[in-house]
Amino acid sequence: MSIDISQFHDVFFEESFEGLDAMESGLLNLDIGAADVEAINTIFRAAHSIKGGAGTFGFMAVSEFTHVMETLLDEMRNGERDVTPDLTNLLLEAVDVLREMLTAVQQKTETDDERIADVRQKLESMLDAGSESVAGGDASVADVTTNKTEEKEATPKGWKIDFRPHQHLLQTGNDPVRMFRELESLGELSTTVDESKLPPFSDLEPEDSYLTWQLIIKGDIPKDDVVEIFEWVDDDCDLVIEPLMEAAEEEIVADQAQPEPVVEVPSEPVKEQTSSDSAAKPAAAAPAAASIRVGTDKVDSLINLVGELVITQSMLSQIGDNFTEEMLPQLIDGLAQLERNTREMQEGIMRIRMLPISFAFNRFPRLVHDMSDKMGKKVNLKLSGEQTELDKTVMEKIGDPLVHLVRNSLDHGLEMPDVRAAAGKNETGTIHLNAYHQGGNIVIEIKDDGAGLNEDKIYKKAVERGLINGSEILSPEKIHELIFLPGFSTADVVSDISGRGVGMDVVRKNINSLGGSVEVASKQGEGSSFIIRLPLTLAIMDGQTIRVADENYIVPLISIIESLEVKASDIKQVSGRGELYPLRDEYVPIIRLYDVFGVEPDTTDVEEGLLVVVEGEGQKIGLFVDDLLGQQQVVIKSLETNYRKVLGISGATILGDGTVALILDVPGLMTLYRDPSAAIPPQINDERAA
Amino acid sequence: MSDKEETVVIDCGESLNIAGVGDLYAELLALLAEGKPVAFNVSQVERVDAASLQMLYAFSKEAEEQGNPLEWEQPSDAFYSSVKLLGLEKMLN
Repeated sequence: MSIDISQFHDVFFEESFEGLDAMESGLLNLDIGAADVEAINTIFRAAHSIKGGAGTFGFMAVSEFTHVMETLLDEMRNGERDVTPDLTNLLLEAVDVLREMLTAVQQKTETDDERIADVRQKLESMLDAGSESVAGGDASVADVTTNKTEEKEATPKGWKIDFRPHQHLLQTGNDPVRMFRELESLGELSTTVDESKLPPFSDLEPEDSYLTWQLIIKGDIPKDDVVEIFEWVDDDCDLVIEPLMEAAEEEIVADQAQPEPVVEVPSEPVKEQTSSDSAAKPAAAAPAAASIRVGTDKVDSLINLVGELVITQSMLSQIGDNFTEEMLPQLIDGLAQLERNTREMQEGIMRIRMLPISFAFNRFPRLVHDMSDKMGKKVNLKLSGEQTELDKTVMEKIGDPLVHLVRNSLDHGLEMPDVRAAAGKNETGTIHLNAYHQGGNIVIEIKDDGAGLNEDKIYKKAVERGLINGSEILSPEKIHELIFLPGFSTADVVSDISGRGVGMDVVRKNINSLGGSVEVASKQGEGSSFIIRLPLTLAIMDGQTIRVADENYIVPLISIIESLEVKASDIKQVSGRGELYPLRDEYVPIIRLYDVFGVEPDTTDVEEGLLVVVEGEGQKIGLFVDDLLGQQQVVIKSLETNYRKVLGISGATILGDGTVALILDVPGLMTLYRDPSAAIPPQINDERAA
Repeated sequence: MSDKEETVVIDCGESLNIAGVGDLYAELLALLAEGKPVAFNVSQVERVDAASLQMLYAFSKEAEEQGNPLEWEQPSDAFYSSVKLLGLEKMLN
C-alpha cells in the first residue's frame, strides 16, 4: 500500500512543536516542589507521541533521540528516578536539541550533529549512571539509578502483564488474539484467563469485553517491545507491566528500594500510525504558517449562527414574496432579527482569531528559568490571566516587547539574593505577568518586586545625554517616562545603570504601532510595573467620527487627548511652521484638515470649528475640524489592499448609512505637517469628489 | 437429551470475527432455549478473534451446565492456537 504520507508532515510538525512546548512547561513545573506523576506523564506522553510520529514518517534520528529521553522519563514516571535539577536541566537541553532537529527536518537544513551527539551522550550516561551520575552524581540520582539497573541492565527474566480490557475494547478493532500472538513471537508466553466477570450466556453482550488476562512472557525482552504491543489499547484497558524476577536477581536487589511496580501505559493525545494504517488518519491542517487552531465550540457556535441567519433570510424572502402593508411590523421584526444575527456572527468570527494569551506567556517560564540560573538570581515567576483572549496578530507582535520587558525586570529590576536579603526582602524575587480585560482593551502587567527605577541615575543620564537640561525639576513620574525616550538607551547604558533603559523606546514604538500604549509605575526599593494596554483586535477600533465639509472621518480614539474650542487670538502664526496653539505649557501645531483633504469647509474661522488635539509618536498636533460627531466602533478596511497606501490615512470604514469614511493616521499626518511635499496624490481628491 | 440426531452442527467457515458475533449470538441463544446439543465445525477456521472466542466460551459453559457439552469438529490449527493464546483451552474439552 503506497500512500503519500508527506501530506501529514505539517500536522506532525505542528503537533510535535506543541508537544515540545508542553514538555518544556511540564519540566519547568517539575522544579517546583515534589514532582507529581501526572505532570511527568504529560511530559512522557508528549515525548512518546513525537517518537511515534517521527518513526512513522521515517525521521529516524528524531525518533531514536526521543527514545532515549522517553526511557529516562519512563523511569521518572515509575518513581525509579528522582526529579533533580540536573535531570530536568538535561531534559530541557534535550528538548532544545529535539526542537532544533525537528526544525532542521522541517526546513530541510543541516543539524548540529555534534550537539545532538553530545546531549544524547549525556542522556545515555544519565541512564547508565550508577552512583557516579554524569551530572554531578548527587545522592538522589545515585539512589534511583541502582534501582533502575534491575530493569535495564540486569534485564529481567521476562515480564508479567496484567491486562484488563475495558468493556469497549473489542469494539475499537483491537483483538487480544492478535496482540497475544505478537507477544508470543517475543518469547515464551503463558496465559491465565480470569473469567469471573463473564455473565451467563443469556446476559452476554457479545461485542463487550469481559475476560481479563494475566500474561507471563519469558525471555530477554526489552520492555519497550512489550509496551509497544499494547500501544494501541492504552486508552481502552488497565495495564500493568512488571518485571519478572527470579530468586537470583532478587538477592542482588534485596537491599535496594523496591521499584514502583505499576506501569500504566498512558493514554496518548496523538496516536501514532503505522504505515499500513496511515490511510485511516484524516488529512488535515493547512501549512503551519498560515493556520490557526480554533476550538470546535467556536466553530459550532458559528454554524449555529449561520443556521439562524438562514432562517431569518427565508423568513424575509417569504415576507417579500407576498408583501402587504399589514406585514410591515413583521418586516421590521425580521430586519431587527437580521441585525442581531449579523452582529452575533461578526462577534463569533472575531472570536475565531482570538487566542488565549498563554500562547505569549508560555515562553517565559523557560526564559526566566534559564536567565535566573545564569545570573544567580532567585526568581519566582507568577502567571495569571493566561486565558485572557487576544487577537492572533496582536499576540504575535506583542511577544518581543514582552520578552524585552521581562528580561529587563530580571536583569535590572530584581536584585541578587544577598542584596535582597540585606534590604530585608525575600531572597527570591517575584515577577508577575498578569493579563485581563478592561473596557475594550486587554491589559498586560509585568510587575516585579525588585529595586525599582533609580530616579537619580535616570535623571543624571538624561541630562548627560542632553535629553533634558539639568535645571528642570521633574516629578518621579516624569523621570520614569524618560526611559522611553529615543536616545536614552544606548549600549553602554545597559551596564552602567542599575535601573532599566534598554531599548524602551523600541518597546513603546512597537506597542504603539499596535494601537496600544505602555506606561510604567515604579517605587524605589519596592519594584516596578509596566502596564501595556492593547486593543483586542486590529480589525475593529474605537473611533471618533469628525466632520469636515460634508465628509466624515474617523480619528482613533486612543490618540485623542482632548477636543476644544479655541479663540482666534490664542493662535500664533509662526513663519514656516504655520499656526501654533498654546495648550497649557506647550505649543501645538494646527493642521487644517480641509487643506489636507482639499474640501470646502463650513468655515475657515477657527472660532467656529473645533480643535481635536491628538498625539502620535510622543508629539501632539491639533486637527481643525468642522464638527465632532459620535464615537463608535469601526471595522477597519485596509486601503492598501483595496487601493494603495495613502499618507495620513490608515484605512477606511463603512458607516451605518453605507458611506465610506477614511480613518486618519495621526503619525502620517505629522509627517505631512513636517513635509507637505509628501502630500496625498491629487487623484484621491478627484475620486472623492466624484 | 444428547441425542445425536438432534445435534445441530454450525459451520464456522474460515473466519469468525466481531462483525458476525451478533448474528451468531442470536442463533446460539435460540438453540440454547431449545436445549439442543450443538457441534461446531471449526476445521476450516483460519482467523478467529477474541470477541468470537469469548462468546463461544460463554456458550460452552452454559451448554455444559445444561448437560449438552459442545462438540468441536476437527479444530484447525489456527482455531486451536487462538483458543490457547487466550487461555480458554478448557472449553475444547
